[in-house]
Amino acid sequence: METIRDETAPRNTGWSAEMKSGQILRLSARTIIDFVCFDRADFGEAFDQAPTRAASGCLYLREGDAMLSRGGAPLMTMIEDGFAGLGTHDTQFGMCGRARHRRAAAEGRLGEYLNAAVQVPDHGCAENLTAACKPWGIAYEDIPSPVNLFQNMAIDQRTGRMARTQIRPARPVPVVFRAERDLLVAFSACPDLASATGGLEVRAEIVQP
Amino acid sequence: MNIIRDDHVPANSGWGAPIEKGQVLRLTAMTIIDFVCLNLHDLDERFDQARTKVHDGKIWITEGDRLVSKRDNVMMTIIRDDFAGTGFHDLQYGTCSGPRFARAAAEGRLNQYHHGDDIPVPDHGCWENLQDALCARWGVPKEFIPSPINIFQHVEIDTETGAISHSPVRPATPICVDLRAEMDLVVAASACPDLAAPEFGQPIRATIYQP
Repeated sequence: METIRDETAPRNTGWSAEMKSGQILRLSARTIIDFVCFDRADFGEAFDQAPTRAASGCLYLREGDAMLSRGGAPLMTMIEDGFAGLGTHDTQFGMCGRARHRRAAAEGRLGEYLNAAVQVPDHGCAENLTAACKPWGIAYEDIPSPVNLFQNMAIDQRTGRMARTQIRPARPVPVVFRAERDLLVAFSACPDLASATGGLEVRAEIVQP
Repeated sequence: MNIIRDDHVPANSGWGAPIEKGQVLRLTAMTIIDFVCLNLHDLDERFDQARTKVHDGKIWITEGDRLVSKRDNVMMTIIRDDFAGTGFHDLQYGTCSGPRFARAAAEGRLNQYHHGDDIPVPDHGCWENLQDALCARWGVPKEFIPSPINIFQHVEIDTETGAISHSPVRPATPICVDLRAEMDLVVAASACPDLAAPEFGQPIRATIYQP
């Protein structure tokens, strides 16, 4: 087993890397990570929430589930979930960002973030992922809505209404993915306005097994 | 009301048209319609399931709710929903497709469509139909056709376990959903082959009117 990279992304920043098929990505954090991946040979084959749910039959991404592309190809498989039993990873929401935060403020909806001391940052996951993907020439519009790791949502069975929760890991725990083909992977260490601590740093390790 | 166009869309085919801000698209059917919209003046701005759910704050949307773009702009408003009370429109599944059906057959999962394992499997579906509607005429790369809102696709969802599954709940007769354009748009719809519907996919009717 060889460690290819071992890096820490500070809170509210983006990170990206290329990976080879079969390599392992371990993301460790205790706040939300907005995570996406692309086929390295064709960035149009990007992760897509909807085919991923259609294949897994689940609203949440779980250990053993594959992340599928828009065209239905398996890009990665979650092989270990340190959050299991505590909370679920979200595949409903998109990215936070300047536009979203401004709209929430204008609509008086900042209270949805549960944290009374919430300070609205001037950027979020949309800007972080845009910066992280820019070296590969991928525009914002072509970055898919992500899987939101450690973003535990409460969804009302009757109304379908979604509410953020403050359920997060008490200390950094890992979520581990295997690359099923050569990939570009990118994430944002979310400013996570809803968490009790606000956003925190994320550790990213790529390992050759 | 002034009818701009009124088109019949055969079962398992695609349809697309421009629509001006303020005009209304009426979609009438008794089986699933996979529906997307794009900004007419900047086709990079596209409908996004996730942004729509964030904006509307829920996983099911109905009359009064908005369709929102990746850039957080409101694209359309649902102003009439005749499916309300019968079922919910889906924002979980993507498009069906020829490869998707072939994979379901290979994995022995055709029975998830509620007709058993021995059903005719189409060689194409909504993914290909939306490409027919959007790629050649508008120059949209196929990968950039967003995952749609699936009108009249009632999906069983257990929010505790997260389990989602197909249901055969559909309108008993053709009913309509009206969507008002909040910006100039290209709209596209697929008359889904709808393997889970009691009588499989049916034609749809697409009407654009100026209220």
